[in-house]
Amino acid sequence: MGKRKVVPFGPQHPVLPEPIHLDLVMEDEKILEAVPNIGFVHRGLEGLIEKKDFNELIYIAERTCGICSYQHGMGYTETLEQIMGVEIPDRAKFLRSTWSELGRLHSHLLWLGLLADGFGFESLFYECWRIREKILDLHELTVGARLIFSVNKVGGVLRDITPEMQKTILETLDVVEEEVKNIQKTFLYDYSVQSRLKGIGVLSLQQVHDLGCAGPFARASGLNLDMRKLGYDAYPYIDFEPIISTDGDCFARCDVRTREIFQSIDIIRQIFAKMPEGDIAVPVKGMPNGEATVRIEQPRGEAVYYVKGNGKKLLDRMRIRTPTFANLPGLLETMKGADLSDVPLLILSIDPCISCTER
Amino acid sequence: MAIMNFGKTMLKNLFLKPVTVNYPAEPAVYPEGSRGHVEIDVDKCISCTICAMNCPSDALKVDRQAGTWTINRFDCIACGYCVEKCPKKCLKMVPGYQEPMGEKTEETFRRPEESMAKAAKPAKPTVTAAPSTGIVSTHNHVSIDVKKCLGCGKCMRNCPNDALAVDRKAKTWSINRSKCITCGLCIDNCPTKCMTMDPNDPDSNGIETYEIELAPIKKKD
Ligand code: SF4
Ligand code: SF4
Ligand code: SF4
Repeated sequence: MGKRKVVPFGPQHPVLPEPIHLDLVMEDEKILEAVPNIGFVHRGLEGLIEKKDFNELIYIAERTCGICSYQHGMGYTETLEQIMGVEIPDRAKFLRSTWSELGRLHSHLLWLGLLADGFGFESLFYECWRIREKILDLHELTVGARLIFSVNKVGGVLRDITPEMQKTILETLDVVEEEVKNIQKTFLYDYSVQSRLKGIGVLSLQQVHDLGCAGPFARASGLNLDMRKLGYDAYPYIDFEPIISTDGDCFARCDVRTREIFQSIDIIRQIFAKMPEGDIAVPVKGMPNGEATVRIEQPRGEAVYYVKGNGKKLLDRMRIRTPTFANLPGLLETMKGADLSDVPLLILSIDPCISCTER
Repeated sequence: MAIMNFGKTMLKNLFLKPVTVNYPAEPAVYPEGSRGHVEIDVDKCISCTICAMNCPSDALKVDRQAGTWTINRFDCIACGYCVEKCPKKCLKMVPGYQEPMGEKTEETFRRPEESMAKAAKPAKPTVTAAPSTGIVSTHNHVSIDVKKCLGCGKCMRNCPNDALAVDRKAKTWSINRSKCITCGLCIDNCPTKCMTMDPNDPDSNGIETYEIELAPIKKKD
């Protein structure tokens, strides 16, 4: 038996997009246990309810995370709408779903790039981010900003996607689809990539279920869990099935996310084919009084929003449960018995968003 | 074979133009609706401070006395909420991001003298007695239908310049014309729509008080 050592990992590490610290208890090259330590980017967003009124909070909720920013704003707005009993127009629902899916596309492409960087394939990393840039251009075209959308308001959305924009989006998506097909081959069939991903960090269906994991991380272990199936926004009108895999290793997580890219492209096409005409917002009067919980599917998994209002401008409570928070226990489980060299990959495989988690 | 698959991509990339542009030598192209920075048409601004009150990042300062509108572009998160809130629609988001600078600076815009003239008028201390109840008073700018008024005080609470006073006990509704900046927020917030505004009315000063009937509040089921 070797001697036990503790290797500190993070909060700064070349492979980490965001700060998390892990104390890795090692025996030779194997990890016995990982002890996490978070709190490096806590910004007290939820505490801002004491200072900002509930409308301003939409813009603050969006800044919970730079990657799933749109969906944070949307989740919070929909919670308010539920409290205030606002039914938004159908077109607004379809628009919200369009932006959600565009957000998922860019998030998954970003993740694929980071994964490629994690296993040391730099050119693949740049290739992914080059493709992602096209999606960001679509964001800028439709909402005026690359990442922080700011188009939600209580009662609907602020901007419309015109037929010309829809045409541009569809054309761009055709190109993106071709290009992703190309890199997908490398991710899934390349011998060296496979040897880095296959059989690493395996979690069984039972484990992800018991640890309460969410999103593509859980779906890669065979858990059929997709909040879009709850039927919010335009999803009841869309024909899609959650993408699952059964292997539960890093390769399966990569596989699930690449296939979700194609799924998102397909969903956007369906949305544009079925988008109704009409208003994009309804006028809203009054202040939120009461409480509500909303669950939505973000690129990283299920996010839960809880808001409690008291009939005044300032809310009583706002709480966001982010998907990374749910996936951290799963991550620690995958680390047990893993090699030190696989730690970056394992961390990346949950698609961590630490800023979200700490809010 | 898969390895050749990426090899092809790499070879192709060798002969393609770079996907990045040589910024700033080559100018960046922004789409039309790009939210770059906030621009103000200061001639139209009425210094109502609504934008400053609602800015999530407190980037705006409005000084009613000096008639200035100040933005700290480094604090501005380009959310566009002020643009949406401005009652006079004098703000807009235009393309072009904030350029880097050595230190955080503020940009101040001043309203032209003519548009300031009204705001500068001193309030007459006299209180005009109200005409008897039951008539729709058609006075300058904001008018009230005293028959419909519930005395709920919503107009008073929403007035950004404390121009209104509603007293349920004394059954009065009064407006300080010198303070009113004709933003129209009271009208937007009135539940019975008993207020109207005609911007073509001549300016007036002083406090006017009206007796109201306190129409019974209809309970929702
Ligand atoms: S765009 Fe947003 S942050 Fe900027 S000044 Fe307007 S309200 Fe404030
Ligand atoms: S909301 Fe508009 S009118 Fe009012 S102070 Fe701001 S810019 Fe001026
Ligand atoms: S228009 Fe109404 S809300 Fe605006 S300042 Fe005048 S009285 Fe106040």
